[in-house]
Amino acid sequence: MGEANAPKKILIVDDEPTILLTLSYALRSRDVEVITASRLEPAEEALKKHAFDLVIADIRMSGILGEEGLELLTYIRRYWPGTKVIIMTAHGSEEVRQDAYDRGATHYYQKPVDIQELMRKIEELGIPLKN
Amino acid sequence: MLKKVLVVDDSALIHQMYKMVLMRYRCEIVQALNGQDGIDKLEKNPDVNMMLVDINMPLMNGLEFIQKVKALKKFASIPIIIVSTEGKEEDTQRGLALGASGYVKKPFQPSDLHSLINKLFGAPPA
Repeated sequence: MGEANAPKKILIVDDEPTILLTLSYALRSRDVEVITASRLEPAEEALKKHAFDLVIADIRMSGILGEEGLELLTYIRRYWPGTKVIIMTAHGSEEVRQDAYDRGATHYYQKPVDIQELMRKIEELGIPLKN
Repeated sequence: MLKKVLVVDDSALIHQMYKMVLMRYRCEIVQALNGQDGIDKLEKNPDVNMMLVDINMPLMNGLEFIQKVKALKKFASIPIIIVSTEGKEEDTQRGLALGASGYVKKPFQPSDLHSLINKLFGAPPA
């Protein structure tokens, strides 16, 4: 991770443009450096290039598997075990939630997104957001 | 004086985002979910100082909304900012031709929207 005073860096992975726009806007307004990806492959590329403090990933993207976010989580745990990961989904269930935690999710977030609530959760995970 | 902003957009998430942005300017926000709702809210809030208008919406889209507002003398002078989408430049140009004051293009950075609001309202209070 970066130095204590360096801007925090967050990767947002979701195939919904509105989610990418609103979350990146909210986080950039709080002085966070944000990188976005709408598919699995560019997300993996971004992970290779940057050290992220947090990854926020939707489970279901427009790929074939329908659980790309969980696949990404497994990939992150394999190569960057210390990176915090919030898994989001609009199609959740207790089983999916348990699967996310079993794979090492730091937090499981049920959509619809409430921006303020998500910002509070990010701070609770130890990532300070400037006012 | 408290500024009042009418936001016309069919996404609840976008409304949340604008609320965060406009709170910094201590604005009162009036929310509408489509163009028709926007006209109704405007009739109830004729003291609106600015409108942020999405283009693609059900029932009445942003361009129809702008056209209708500009035809109503009592509202015609209220500045309208179009929130457009990349690749839809034609719609943006039509909106400007209909009388919109400016536009921001999705995905936009905080600074893009802030500089537009600053131009209309001045910088936010420290």
